Amino acid sequence: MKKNRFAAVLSPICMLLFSFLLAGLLILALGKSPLVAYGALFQGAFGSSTAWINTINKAVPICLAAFAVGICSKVGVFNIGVEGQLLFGALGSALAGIYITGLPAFLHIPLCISAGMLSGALWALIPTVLYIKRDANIIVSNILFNLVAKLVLIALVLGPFRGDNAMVPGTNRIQETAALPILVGGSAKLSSAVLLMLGVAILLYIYLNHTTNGFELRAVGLNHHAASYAGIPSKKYVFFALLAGGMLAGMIGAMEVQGTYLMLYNDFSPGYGFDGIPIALLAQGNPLVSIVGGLLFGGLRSGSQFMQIAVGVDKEIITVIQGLLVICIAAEPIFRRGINLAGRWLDRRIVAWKQ
Amino acid sequence: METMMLLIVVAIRLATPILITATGAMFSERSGVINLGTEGMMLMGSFAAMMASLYSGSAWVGVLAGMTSAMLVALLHGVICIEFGGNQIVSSLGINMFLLGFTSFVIKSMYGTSISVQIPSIQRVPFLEGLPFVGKYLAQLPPLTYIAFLIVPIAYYIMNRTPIGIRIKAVGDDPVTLETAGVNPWRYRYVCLMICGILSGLGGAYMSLGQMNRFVTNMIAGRGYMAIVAVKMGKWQPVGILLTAMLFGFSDAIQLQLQVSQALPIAPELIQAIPYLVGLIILAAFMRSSAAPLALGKAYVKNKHKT
Repeated sequence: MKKNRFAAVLSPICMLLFSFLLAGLLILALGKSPLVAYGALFQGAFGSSTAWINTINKAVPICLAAFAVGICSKVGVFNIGVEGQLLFGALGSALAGIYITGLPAFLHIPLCISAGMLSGALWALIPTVLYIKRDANIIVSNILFNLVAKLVLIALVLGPFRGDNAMVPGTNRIQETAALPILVGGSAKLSSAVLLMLGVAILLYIYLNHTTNGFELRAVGLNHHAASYAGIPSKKYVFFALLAGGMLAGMIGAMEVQGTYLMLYNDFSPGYGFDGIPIALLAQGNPLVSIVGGLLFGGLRSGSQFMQIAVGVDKEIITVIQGLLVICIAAEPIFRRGINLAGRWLDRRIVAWKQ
Repeated sequence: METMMLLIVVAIRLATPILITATGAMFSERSGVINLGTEGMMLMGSFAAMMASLYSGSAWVGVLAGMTSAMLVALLHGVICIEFGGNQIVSSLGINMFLLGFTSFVIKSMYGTSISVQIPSIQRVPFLEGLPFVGKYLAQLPPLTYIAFLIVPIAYYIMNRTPIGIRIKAVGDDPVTLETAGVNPWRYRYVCLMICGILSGLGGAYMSLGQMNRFVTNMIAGRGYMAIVAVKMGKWQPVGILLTAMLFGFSDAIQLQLQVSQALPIAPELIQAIPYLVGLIILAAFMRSSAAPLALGKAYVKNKHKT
């Protein structure tokens, strides 16, 4: 038992190291030093207090994306639609932030966040209904929905909702009353989005692990036949989890609009929705473990810009590392086997050494 | 008449990559292996085709390189999912993510931009121009399009008229029984997945060598996923896949036509979304199907690897 737990911690670490190693070989093959590149990456991510603030700001959307993927994975559905849902969440939050005026901040902020969460859930609704009612492959439909969402958002932001400043490819700024309070000011601002994200994580953790509803939801994911047999309405839980995923994704958009940019650009998301996937898979949907992964990936994102400027290694290397990590997660049986073999070899060595 | 013929030519050109890739994906899905990695394999194919075409000076060497590289990617997917029973969806999405990053990273590191230089390409078949009436239209189709339309009857023949086809269908429905009957199910899955890789690579090579004459970051833009939709809507049959691919080609051609002519007063981005919406409607309307292979997505692992 203890050994199993040891392997459960060891194999994600092996996967991470392996991904960085292979990506490092690629950097080396293109004539740059991977050690220098990774050094710059680390310095840009965690090297100073400004770097830490940037990393945390990037980690907030990534953590929320991991929660959105995670809650769906708890009912056994692979949610790849977060990217499209977060774009629509941002749209809902931005529209409520721009066009609703005269509200005090303590009403306007939650209103805009709710608008974002609602539009994220609405964008998730059609694939979800198609999946539950017509058994349409939700991975393919979500991928198509992501592609459509991107195009629709560009059309809306550059069309009817375009701001007055023609130089900026985005909407007008949201009202002052809709902006999230700033925790730490200065050259890098830390918005209070991080507190909301932590609150969501704790609520989600309690819901999944310490309530009857959460228990039933997990039961559906483990074996939905058995769950149905025990009287749990599994389709209802799948529906709920997928919409909750959409709401969490919508919240990402709201946090970015109200906390980071204070307006809506046409391409504000560098793919946060996809960043959440490997984290949620590695953390097995556990929100508290996801935060650790979110910080790591947030660090990759914020450090990669510094790395690109400082040592000239393109920041696309981050996608390479993430892709390798996802492949490694799929290849988990191979890693487990490798660790088992290594463990057995080590055991034999120890026994031989003792004699 | 003239515009109609041109629309048809454009539709066939746009349908070709989806048709080639979907035919490959049909083999993989028929044998029971989900491969959403067609998107990444096409990207790899078009990238490798560009590279090989650039350095060898011959587009056909590029085509070969595209097919080989995508086959190697399929082999990786096979080792993870067929040999060790890894999650097929996660593996194929990881492959897509990795190859999107890999191709963008290499192209940006080498050229500093996301667009490659011009390369030797094969966009026309000049000797067909001599034919009466249709010659000038037929000559505008790349040779790979003709190969694509050759692959369809071959796939139909293999699937429906040979013992191999029956075994492929059987391994996708019930690998246990097939193994009991003395057939090696893993070998069939590997071969089908490699076919899928080779054809995805060909579809990708068509994008950089047939459709255009350069490689652009993320130039596949969802066509690999559209191919999977085409397989499902075509009910895992070559002829159905051909019809679906043509439907996608036509909606794409109409979309381009609408963008150029500006006949509709709506944003070009919304017009670009038309093919995806067609795919979605098809998915919603035709999805529930008993034609799906029964063991699709279910791993069947050799005893020695069970831990």
